[in-house]
Amino acid sequence: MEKETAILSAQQLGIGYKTSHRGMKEVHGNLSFVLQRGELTCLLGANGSGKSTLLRTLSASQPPLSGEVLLEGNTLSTLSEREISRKIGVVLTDKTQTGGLTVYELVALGRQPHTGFFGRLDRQDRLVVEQAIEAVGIAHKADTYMAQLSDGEKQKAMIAKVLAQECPLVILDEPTAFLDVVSRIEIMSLLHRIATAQHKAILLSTHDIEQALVLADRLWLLRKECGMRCGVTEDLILNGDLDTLFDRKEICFDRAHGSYYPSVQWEKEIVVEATDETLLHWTINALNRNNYGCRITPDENSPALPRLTVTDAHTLSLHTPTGTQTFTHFATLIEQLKKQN
Amino acid sequence: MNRHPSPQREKRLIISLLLLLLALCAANLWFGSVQIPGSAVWDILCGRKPEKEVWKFIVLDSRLPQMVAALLSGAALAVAGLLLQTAFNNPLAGPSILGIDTGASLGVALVMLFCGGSLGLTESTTLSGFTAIIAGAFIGSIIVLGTILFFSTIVKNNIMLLIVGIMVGYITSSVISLLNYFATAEGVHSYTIWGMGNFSGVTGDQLPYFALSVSAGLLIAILLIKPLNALLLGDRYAANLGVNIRLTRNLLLIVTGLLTASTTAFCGPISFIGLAVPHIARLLLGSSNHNTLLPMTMLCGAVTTLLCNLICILPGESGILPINAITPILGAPVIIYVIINQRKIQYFN
Repeated sequence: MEKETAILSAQQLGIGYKTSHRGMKEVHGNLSFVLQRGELTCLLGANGSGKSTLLRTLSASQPPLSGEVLLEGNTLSTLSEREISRKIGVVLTDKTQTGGLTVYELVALGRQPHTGFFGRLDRQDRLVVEQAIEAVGIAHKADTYMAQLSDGEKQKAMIAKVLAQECPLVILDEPTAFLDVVSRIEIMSLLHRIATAQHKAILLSTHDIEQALVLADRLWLLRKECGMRCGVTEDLILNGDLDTLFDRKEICFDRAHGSYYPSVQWEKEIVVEATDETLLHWTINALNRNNYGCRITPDENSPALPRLTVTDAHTLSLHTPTGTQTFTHFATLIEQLKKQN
Repeated sequence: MNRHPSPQREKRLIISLLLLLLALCAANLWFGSVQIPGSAVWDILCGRKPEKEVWKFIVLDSRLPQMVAALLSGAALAVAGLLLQTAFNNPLAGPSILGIDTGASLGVALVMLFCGGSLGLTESTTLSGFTAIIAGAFIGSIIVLGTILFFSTIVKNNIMLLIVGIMVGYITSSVISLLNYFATAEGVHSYTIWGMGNFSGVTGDQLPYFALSVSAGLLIAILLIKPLNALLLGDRYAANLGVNIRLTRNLLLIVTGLLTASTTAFCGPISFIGLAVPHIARLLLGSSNHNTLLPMTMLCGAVTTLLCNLICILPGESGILPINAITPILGAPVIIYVIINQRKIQYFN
């Protein structure tokens, strides 16, 4: 059973593209990975780290430079276009001309690998199309033109198209780019639900790290210099692999909150005491932004430093050698701190 | 613009267009420089002897071939335009805008001008002469199409590609002008007459060849409906749906070349039909689905050119208007309408 869940794998895969005059530009030379059925895998990496090149190689849009990709044990490059079209479905960021099609017609295009020469849909095809539209929750829009959908709904329709294709492996290139928060969360939850419910392997690239850390079963972290790290999300977070994903000093990863922050550089220090975690977090956030480094645990230097005690959001007491001031809002506190600068 | 494609609406639309087509066919046979009563036209079509023997000749050997030529050219050019718009992912593509009919014209010019005008498409044209003209037109249009296709791999921006097409068209026109300069007066004369566009150029003897090449092109276009629909998603999506992109593109190139070349060779370069008619069809139908759009485009193309031809022959005794004087008056407003309303028109978004 364990072995059956792997659908796509590669050992020491070299990816990149051919430049003119038979030259080759290798983006990565040594990638090894396995993609599992029933799991949502998120590919994270900075711009230019080779995410799109990797996804194109895995969806057979471009050949690998070295090594081979195995799809259910067969070498990807030996499979015909039609065979691949029934195994790997893609959702891309490409511009389409589909505004004049209804959602139903668009999703029905996903049946092309299964239909005959003229693409006529039989009863089974129609059933699959209807189920796909149902599964992404836009059944009420089935007869609406694509042009009349919101961006989030358009993306759902493209996902329905890929579901109608009935591929065990689905690859999505930044499916949540350009979407608002609500749609991003909806799309990611939807993909996670589909991976589990339909036992599909879903691989997507994204810049939306917060959502990926919440919903991805596995992460693939791609870095330009160091290749790729794969693993279950929590293992990678707690091993510190995300700390070095963006190899920049100005950025650091907050393991507790699962997100990236600009590194703090401060000129002054202050001791902070707060009654709960949330208050402490946002107090430090405010102080960091205003050039204050925060000390949470007092030491021998602390008595000389100013001290801020936060009892609740409207009781902020600033203790300095000259006396104690109490503020009712962060607005007034920050104003006072800026004056002292 | 909230028209949803429903099978009932489609059926009504197709029936009314077919009736319109029939009416236009009748009108094209009825009107002309010589006044022939409708009853006489009917008698001639039914094989009965008319009052005057010359009427039979006019209807069967002049008006009928002209009508069929207009009908076929319209369907051919409109379908060529639709294929180009889908293939280039660009609603403003068309055989005349991309310079493809200019390419065909160049081929025709080379043949006509350098055979001293003896190969002009007159009634006395020999079969070999006309094969040469068709072959010239086909090669010319395929060369321009290939050039545009090559540029499309470099220039990704649609508008920029259109401008490249227009430039290629200009260069081709220049070459034609230069050829004219060196050609004989007779050659230039027959080329100029041809260049104004005229459906009456096709004689009854030539008609079967014309019909054959156009039907072949239209048939292949119908066979490409499934990959055409996939191409609406763009190349990479289509490839993922199992479409052989290179084969499909090559076939589209050949079909577009064949359709444009045959109409251009027989009737001259006719502007705006290829660009405007697919838009008329999409607007009427309310769908970009080629299953219905392709037949609809053929039908609309035939109706439009029959209408244009009718307008051309309406002056009656004072002569025939050149077809290219009429098509822009009908076609250009459609394009302007589409561009102005592009936010409201679904297929543009």
